[in-house]
Amino acid sequence: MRNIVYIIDKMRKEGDQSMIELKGVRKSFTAKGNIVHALNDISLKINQGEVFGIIGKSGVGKSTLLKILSLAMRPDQGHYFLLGKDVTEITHKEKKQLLLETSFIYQGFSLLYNLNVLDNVSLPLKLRGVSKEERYKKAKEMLEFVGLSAKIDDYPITLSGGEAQRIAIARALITNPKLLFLDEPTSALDEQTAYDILKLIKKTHEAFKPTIVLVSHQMQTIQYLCDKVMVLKDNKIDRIGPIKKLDKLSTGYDALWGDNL
Amino acid sequence: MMLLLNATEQAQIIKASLETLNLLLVSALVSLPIGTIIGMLLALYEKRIFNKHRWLIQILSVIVSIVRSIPFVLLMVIIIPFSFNTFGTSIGYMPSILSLSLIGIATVSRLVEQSVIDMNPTIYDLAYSMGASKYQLFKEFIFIEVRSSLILAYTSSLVSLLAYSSVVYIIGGGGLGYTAIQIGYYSPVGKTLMWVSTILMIIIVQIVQLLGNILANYLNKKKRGH
Repeated sequence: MRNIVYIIDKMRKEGDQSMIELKGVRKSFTAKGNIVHALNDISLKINQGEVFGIIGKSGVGKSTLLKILSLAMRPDQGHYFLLGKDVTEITHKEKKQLLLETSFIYQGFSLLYNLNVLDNVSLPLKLRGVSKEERYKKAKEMLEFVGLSAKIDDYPITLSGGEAQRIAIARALITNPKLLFLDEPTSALDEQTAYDILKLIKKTHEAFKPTIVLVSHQMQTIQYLCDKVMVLKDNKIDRIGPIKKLDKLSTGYDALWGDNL
Repeated sequence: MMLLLNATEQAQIIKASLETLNLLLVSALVSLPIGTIIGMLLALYEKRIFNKHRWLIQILSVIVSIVRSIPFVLLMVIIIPFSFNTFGTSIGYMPSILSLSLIGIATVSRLVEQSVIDMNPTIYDLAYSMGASKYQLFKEFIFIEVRSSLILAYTSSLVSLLAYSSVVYIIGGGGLGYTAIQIGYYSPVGKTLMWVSTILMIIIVQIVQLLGNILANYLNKKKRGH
């Protein structure tokens, strides 16, 4: 009896730490009359404060998984628990509330080109009804954090790729999100700029401690940032575990552990 | 230019210009907001941002296509029974405004729809990921991103409306078209009036286009140099 109480208590404690939990998630699409199984039986757990990497070749379901995790898509089967809530059963209003706890950084930066840098960064706070003075103050702090205070009045068209991604990071951080999704954050950048952005993401994690879910096809990116990694192959989990452990098992995995997938 | 005309002709051209401006402004006031709303709806359904009552939007899209396909002169004639039942007359100012507004709404709808469809699709994902409401999606994202192309769409629509307004004299709408053709062209001594009317129309188009371009350019920050 004491053992059962201990196990339940342990599970509860583990549950408290859990930011994301997927159980048997499946997703299919119909393309030209054929059913395409984008995700098969995906189960995983991501704890608070972890940096979790998802890697795999093109077409293995990385983007679909990220869409499900970021609440942009519902799974066909299985359960998805985010911050302890089963998102397959929540209302639209509850989903909106959960979205306020998350931020997304896209591959293509996704800045609004008709807004200057300050307005781009402060936009999430504007949507939350924060006063202009307060949101600008916070945006300036975030721009200082990403090292772009001097670009405050500039428009995105005048920014380099690296600067645009820094602005996107500042915008994602302004709401102090518990969960940060990154979709190929460095794939559109040259090598040196990509490294600078990775350093900034690492600095972000150290400073704000968000849980990070990162999708990348670049192994260096995953190795540099992640605590845990999941390798997707043939639209299902091929391997999952701590990055160091997986690294040791890399022998015979040359195809996956090459420079790029 | 006015010195080429005698006092009667000057009075006629001033009256006609005011009629044309009246037709243009009132039909624009009706068609720009309604056309914008319809165009936005068509685009947002096309992009699957909205899904409910899809059949209604498809019917709306077909109506817009039909109105745009009918030659304007025929459109004015076709709606005569409706005008008569609604306004108690089939000719004059109100039937002219109705026909101009109808073609204006259809024109603006398609141009606005195209502007929104051409927008960077990641903007929708971005708005969703930030938890934006449908209203915020429109106000803070779509409108901001497409505002300069909307101004160009409105400019183009106004120029089209001005062209259409030149033929509403057929149903008694008056304006510079009436002065140029009925008083000017068909009169043995009215050729000057025809040319002055034409030049005035060109000037109005140029002013509308110039103002539209300046405003669109000012609002467009996607070009280097801002």
